[in-house]
Amino acid sequence: MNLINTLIAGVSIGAIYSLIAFALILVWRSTRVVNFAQAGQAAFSTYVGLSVEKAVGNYWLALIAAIIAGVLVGAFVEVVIVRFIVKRATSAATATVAPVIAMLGLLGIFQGLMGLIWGGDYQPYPTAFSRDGISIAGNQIPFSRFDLFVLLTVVVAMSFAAVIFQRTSLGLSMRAAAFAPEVTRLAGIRVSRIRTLGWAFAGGAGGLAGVLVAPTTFIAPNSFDLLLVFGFTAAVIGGLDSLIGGVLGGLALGIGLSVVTGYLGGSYTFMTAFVLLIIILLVRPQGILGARGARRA
Amino acid sequence: MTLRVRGLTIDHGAIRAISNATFNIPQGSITAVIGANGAGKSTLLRTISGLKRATSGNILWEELELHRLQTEQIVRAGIVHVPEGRSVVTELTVAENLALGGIWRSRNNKSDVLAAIAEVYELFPRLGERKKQRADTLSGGERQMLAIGRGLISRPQLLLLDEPSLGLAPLVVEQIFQTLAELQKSTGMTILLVEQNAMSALRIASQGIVLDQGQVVIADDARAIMNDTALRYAYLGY
Amino acid sequence: MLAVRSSHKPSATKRIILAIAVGALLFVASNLIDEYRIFQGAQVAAYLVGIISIVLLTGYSGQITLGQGAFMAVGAYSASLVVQEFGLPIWASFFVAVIAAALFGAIIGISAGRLSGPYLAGATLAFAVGIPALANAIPILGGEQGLSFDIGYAPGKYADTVSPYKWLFWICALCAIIAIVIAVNLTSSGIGRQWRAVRAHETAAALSGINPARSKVLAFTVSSGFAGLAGVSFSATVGLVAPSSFTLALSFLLLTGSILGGISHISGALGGALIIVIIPTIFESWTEEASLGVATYLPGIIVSALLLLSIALAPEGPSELLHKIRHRHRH
Ligand SMILES: Nc1ncnc2c1ncn2[C@@H]1O[C@H](COP(=O)(O)OP(=O)(O)OP(=O)(O)O)[C@@H](O)[C@H]1O
Ligand SMILES: [Mg+2]
Repeated sequence: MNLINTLIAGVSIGAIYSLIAFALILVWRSTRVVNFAQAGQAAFSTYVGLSVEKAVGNYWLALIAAIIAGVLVGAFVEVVIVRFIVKRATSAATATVAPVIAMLGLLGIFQGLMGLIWGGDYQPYPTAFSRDGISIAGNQIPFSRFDLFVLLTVVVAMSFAAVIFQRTSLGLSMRAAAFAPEVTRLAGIRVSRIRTLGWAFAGGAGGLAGVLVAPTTFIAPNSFDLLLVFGFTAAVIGGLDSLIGGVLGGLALGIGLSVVTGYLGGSYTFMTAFVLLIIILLVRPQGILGARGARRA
Repeated sequence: MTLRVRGLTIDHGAIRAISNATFNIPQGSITAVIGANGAGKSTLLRTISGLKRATSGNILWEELELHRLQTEQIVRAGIVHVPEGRSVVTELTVAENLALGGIWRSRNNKSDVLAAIAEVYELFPRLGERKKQRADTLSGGERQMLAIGRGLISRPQLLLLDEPSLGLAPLVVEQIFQTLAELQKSTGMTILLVEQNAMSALRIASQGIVLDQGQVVIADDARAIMNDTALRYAYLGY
Repeated sequence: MLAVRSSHKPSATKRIILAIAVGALLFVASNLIDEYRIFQGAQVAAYLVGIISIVLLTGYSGQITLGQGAFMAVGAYSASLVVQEFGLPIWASFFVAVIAAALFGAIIGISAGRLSGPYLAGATLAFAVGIPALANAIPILGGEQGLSFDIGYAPGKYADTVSPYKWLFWICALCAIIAIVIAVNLTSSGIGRQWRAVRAHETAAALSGINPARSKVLAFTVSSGFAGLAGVSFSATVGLVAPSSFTLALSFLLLTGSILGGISHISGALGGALIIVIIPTIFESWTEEASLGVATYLPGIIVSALLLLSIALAPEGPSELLHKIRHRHRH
C-alpha cells in the first residue's frame, strides 16, 4: 500500500466527516449549542431513507427522502425543544452544561424511538454504485465508484451551500445572525426563523451524511455515535465558527486517519483522532483554520 | 406619527431602570434624551425597539402597541434602533452590513433599497471607498457611520440613536450631528437621540428629555433646557 | 447524605457515626428482602458512586463530563489486572482502582482544565468512546471478552450462610457509604468552597487567592478517583470487565442520574441512582414477543425525556423545583 493509495482511501470518508462538521458548525453558529443529538437525527433520517428504499426500491428516492426527513427533524427539534431549553436553561450552576445535557437527552429519545420503530439490529444499507476499487491501468486502487459518488455528492452539496451563503440574502442573514443576532434583529430580520432554517439545513446535511456512510457502517440506532465524534473533531480542527474550516477539517481528518490506519493498523484510528482533538483544543483553540474565537467561555 | 410613552416602568431583575415615564415624541422632531451614566437611557431605547420587555406601561406608535410586538415587527413599522457601541456585524463587509438593513423589504422594494444604499454612500463617502472592507477593519468613526447607515437603509420614520458620539473625536461628532440635522430636514423623519454630550445634542434638537435615575425629570423645549442654568447644574452637572 | 441538608453543619465525626448507623440499617434490611432486589441494591450503590463523581466534577467544580464511563473503565481494568497478573487480593484491587483512575484523571485534568463548555463536552465525549475502543485493541485487556472480575464468596464460615448477592451488596454498599462520607466532608471543606467559587466566577476566585487551574485539576483527580471506585463496584456486579460494560450509554446514564437527582448536591446522588435502576425494572414483566421491543426501549425514552424536562424546568434538580413551588405558594 503506497502513500497515494492511503491518501485516496481517506478522501471519501473525510467528505462525510465534512458533512457532519458542517451540520454541527451551522447549529453552533446559530444557537451556540453543540448538537450532540445530530448522531440520532442523522440515523433517524437514514432509517426513513431505508424504509423508502424497501417500499419503492429506488435508491434516489430514498436519498431524497432521507434529506427531507433530516430537514424536517432538524426544524422540529429547534422549534419544539431547543428554543424552549435555551430560553429556560439560564440557571447559574448549570447554564453552560444545560444545553449539552439537553442535547444528550434528545439523543437518548431519538435512539429509543428508532429502537422502537426499526429495532436494534444492524441493518445493511444499499448502494447505487459498486464498492469495488476502480482499476487504473490494471492496478486496483482503494477508491470505488461509490467513493467517487460520495465525494461528488458532498462537493455538489457544499457548492450549493456556498452559493446560498455567499450569494443570497438568506445566506447573508444567516451569517449576520450567527455573529451578531441582536444587530440582525434590529435590521428587521426574523432571527428565530433564520435559526430554525439553520437547524433544518444541518438536519438535511446529517441525513445526507447518514445515507452516504450507512453502506459502510450499517445502520443501527447508535451506529453513528463514532461519526459524531469524528465530525466534532473535524469541526474543532476548523474552528467551530468556520464552515469552510469544518469542511476542510473533515477532509484533513479523513485523509490523516487513513494514513494512520494504513501504516499502524485500524486499532489506532480512534486513538489518533482523540489525541489530535485534544492537541488542537489545547494548542490552537481557535482551530487550525479559524481566525479567532473564544474557546474558553 | 407620534410616539407616545405612557407610565412606562422597566426593570432589570431587582434593578428599576425606568420608573413610570410618560412623554411624547412628535413627528418630525429631534428629541434629545440626556442623563448621567446609568440613568436608564439605553434601557429606554431597547424597550422601544422591543429588545427588552417593559414591566408595565404602554408604548404607542399611533394605534400600534409597540410593547406587544417583536423587534422585527417594530422595524417593519418604521422604527429603527442603532444601539450603543457602533453595532455593526464585524465579520461582514461594509456593503454586506448595509445590504442587511434592506433584506426585509427588498422583495417588494428592491429598487428603493438600492437607492437607499446609494444615498448612504453619498452621505458617508468614506463608506463608499470601503465597500469590500470587513467592518472590523474600520475606524471607530467609520463604524459608527456604518451603524447609522445600516439603520437608514430601512427608511425609518423614527430613528433611535444611542450615543452616536461615544468615543469619537469632537470634529467627527460635530460632523455626525450636522449630518443628522440635515438628514432630518431632508427626510422629515423623527429622531430620538440619546447623548452624554448634552450640549451638542440639545443644539440640534427641538425637544429635550432629562432622565435622572430612571425618572423623567424634565421634558421641555431644547432651548429652554439649555438656557436654564439651575436645571443644567442640577442634572447635567455644569 | 441526610447530613448535608440540615442547616446546622454536623462535624465529620457525627457524619461517620451517622454513616455507620445507615450501614447497620442496610445490613439488617439486606436480610429482609429477596435476592434480586439485593442485586439491584448493589447496582444502586455502584451507580451512586459514579453519580457522586459527576456531582463533584460538574455540580461543584463546574466542569462538564460526558465520559465518566471512561474513568470507571480505567479503575475497573486496573483492578482486574492487578488481581489476575499480580495475584493481589480483591480488597486491595479496590484501592488500586481508585488510585489508578485518580492518576489518570490528574493527567486528563491538566489538559481538560483549560477547556470549557462544548469543548470540554466534546473532548470527554471522545474519551468515552475512545477508552473502550482502546481497551478492545490491547491484547492484555482481553479484547471483546474482557477480563473476569469475581469478588467470590464471603470469607470463612460465612461463605455458606451469606449468599453471593448479599456479599456483593455489602461490598458495594460499604464502598458507597465510604464514598458519601468522603464526598460530603470534602464538599463542606475549604476545597469544596474553592470549587464552587471557581465555578461561580473564575476571575473573582483568582483575585481572592484561589488558583483556578489547580482547583480544576484537583476536582478532576478526585472525581476520577470516585469514578474508579464506581467502576470496580460496577464490574463486581457484572462479574466482568469488558469494553461493552463501559459504553457511551453508561456515561450518559450516570449523567442523567446526576441531573435527575440534582447535580448541585451530593444528596441528590441516591435519588438519581434509584431512578436509573428502578425505571427499567418497571417494564421487566413485559416479556412477550409483542411488547419486548417496548420494554427494551421505553425506559431509555422515559429517562431521556425526564432528563430533557428536568433541564428545562429545574436544571438544579428536584430540590430546586420544590423550592420554587414553595416559594410561589408563599407569595
Ligand atoms: N442587562 C442588564 N442587567 C442588569 N442591569 C442592567 C442591565 N442593563 C442595564 N442595567 C442597569 O440599568 C440601569 C440603567 O442602565 P442603562 O444602560 O439604561 O443606562 P444609560 O443611561 O444608558 O447609561 P450610560 O450613559 O452609561 O450608557 C443601570 O443601573 C444598569 O446597571
Ligand atoms: Mg447607555
